[in-house]
Amino acid sequence: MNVIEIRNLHKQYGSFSLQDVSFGVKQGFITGLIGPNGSGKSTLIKMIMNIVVPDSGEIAVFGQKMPDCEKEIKQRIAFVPDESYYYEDLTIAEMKRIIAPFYKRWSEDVFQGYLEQFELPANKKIKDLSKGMKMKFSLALALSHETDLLIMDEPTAGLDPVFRRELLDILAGLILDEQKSILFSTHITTDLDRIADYITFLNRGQIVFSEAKDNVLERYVLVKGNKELLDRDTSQLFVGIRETGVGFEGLAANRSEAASQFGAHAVLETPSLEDIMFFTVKGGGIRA
Amino acid sequence: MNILISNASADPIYLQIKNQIKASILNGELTPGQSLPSIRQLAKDLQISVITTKRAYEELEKEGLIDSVVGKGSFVSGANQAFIREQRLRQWEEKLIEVTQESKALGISLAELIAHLRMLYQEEEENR
Amino acid sequence: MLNLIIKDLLVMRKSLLFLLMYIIILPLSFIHLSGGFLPVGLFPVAVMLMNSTSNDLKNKNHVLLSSLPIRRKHIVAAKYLGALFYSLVGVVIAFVTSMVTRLAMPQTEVAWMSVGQAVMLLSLALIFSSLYLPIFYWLSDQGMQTVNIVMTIILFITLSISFQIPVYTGSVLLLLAAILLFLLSYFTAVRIFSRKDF
Repeated sequence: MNVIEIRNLHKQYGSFSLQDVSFGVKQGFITGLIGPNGSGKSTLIKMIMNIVVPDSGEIAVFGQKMPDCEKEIKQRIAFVPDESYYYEDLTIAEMKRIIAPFYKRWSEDVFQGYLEQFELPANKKIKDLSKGMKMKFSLALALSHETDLLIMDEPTAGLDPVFRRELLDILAGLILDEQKSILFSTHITTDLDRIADYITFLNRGQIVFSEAKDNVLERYVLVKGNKELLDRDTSQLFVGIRETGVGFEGLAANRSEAASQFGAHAVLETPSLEDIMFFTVKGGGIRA
Repeated sequence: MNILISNASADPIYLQIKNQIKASILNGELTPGQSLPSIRQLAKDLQISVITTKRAYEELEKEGLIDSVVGKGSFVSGANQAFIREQRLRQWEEKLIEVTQESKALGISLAELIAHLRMLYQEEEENR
Repeated sequence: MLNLIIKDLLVMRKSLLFLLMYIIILPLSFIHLSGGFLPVGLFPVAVMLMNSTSNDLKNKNHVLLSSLPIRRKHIVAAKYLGALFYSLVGVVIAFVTSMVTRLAMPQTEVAWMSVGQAVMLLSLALIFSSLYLPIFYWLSDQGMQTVNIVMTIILFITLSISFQIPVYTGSVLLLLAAILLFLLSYFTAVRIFSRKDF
């Protein structure tokens, strides 16, 4: 069952556009949305939240249409935005007092628990918080009302590696009950390499793939070999190639084909999501 | 039960998990009927994807080593004592073949090998 | 939706002292004009409305609010209800000012504010808000500068119109027209706001 269903979404923004984007986010799993800067990840997430209005296309969350059922849908969504949009002059406690009343199922105990866990002093002004603390505050607010879907836009961008790991643990804990779903966009793909169940890759406003992460990592292969192995035919196999003075490395989208072509003559490795993103974005012919 | 996965290993993660659980079952560390962690709890502990742990469990189920009951979880297969013994015997034979080959390569005679085995058996007895 | 209005007031509390200066001191300079009750009542409305909208932009309110479980039309409705509230406050301030003036300086020619004048003041405040808010929503991307310039122009237009209108004629008619305009303005603002990207 898809907790988010997106069909044929179009959005034109000056010179940038999202074209015919369709995909689904499965319930009970962690879906990562990856892509380089400017690929449209943030815009896509904002359209799901109706913060940005699409030109055309359909968005359904929990089976209900956006923006018609906006209010009911958002009651069940925990949203962590890419920037802190809170009132800088207010304290954490005051800001909470503004936001909490909007949610029917707010739990003050849970909120206080998170404040303690994240070490956020309630009387500190928002403008005095570091970027990481602001994000933790967003997270505390988002998780303190009962939610079925957590959507995060670049949550790890300003975080130190210590808290990033803690965050992964928190996320894994959230989906233990198999009911909640998580969607998070990031360009720090190392976080997703580990815990993501599904990956949607967005490049220049279009979906490159949207499938189980394990499948992706098995399908693609990183080939490293001698320059001499590259010719017109073999180059066709690759999504992207990087040639240097001492050899080449390339990403192929079909592991079995690459294995049969290069086999024992080259080193074949499982790529990371970052490799996949790099080579796909750069396209063929990257000369070092 | 301990499971340790390595990113440096050539084996995909689901295979590492499967092999380690399988080893624990075969050497008796996990007993028939014993419950295994849920696929989600395991994913959380190892900080990996749920789909990966699910696949490991599915493979184990295919080999008849575990049973999964919807709503209850996964358990070490009880009904397969004979099967487990057979698996272990197979592994034992493989080890013997390895020892034999290695002995020959090192120039150790059969008599020396048997003498050494006898000594090891006795040591085992004394350590009990 | 009540939350939104409370939120606006909460934020306003922070700039209260500053507002009070505008609300009280500026108008006092106008009471001696005949028909002076108009700027006395209108300026506070303009100042409060401007303060409320500039806080929205300063705090990037619209992004925050659109991520919360509220319908966009309610966000706009809260603003309009706020404008209505400020209009009423404006009338009260004008009345209190006229009363205080009369009590403090009995020889003055400033009269008690009449009901007709109150009605007219309310109408003008509503007309001002009706013109201001849709323009605010339309131009908010360009920043407060632009909005303020436009607001000041509207304020002066409203004031100069008001000086042409004889005080008692068509009071009730004017109020009804103002209310109609207010509602029309609301629907326009909702349309504008619903299409915006944040």
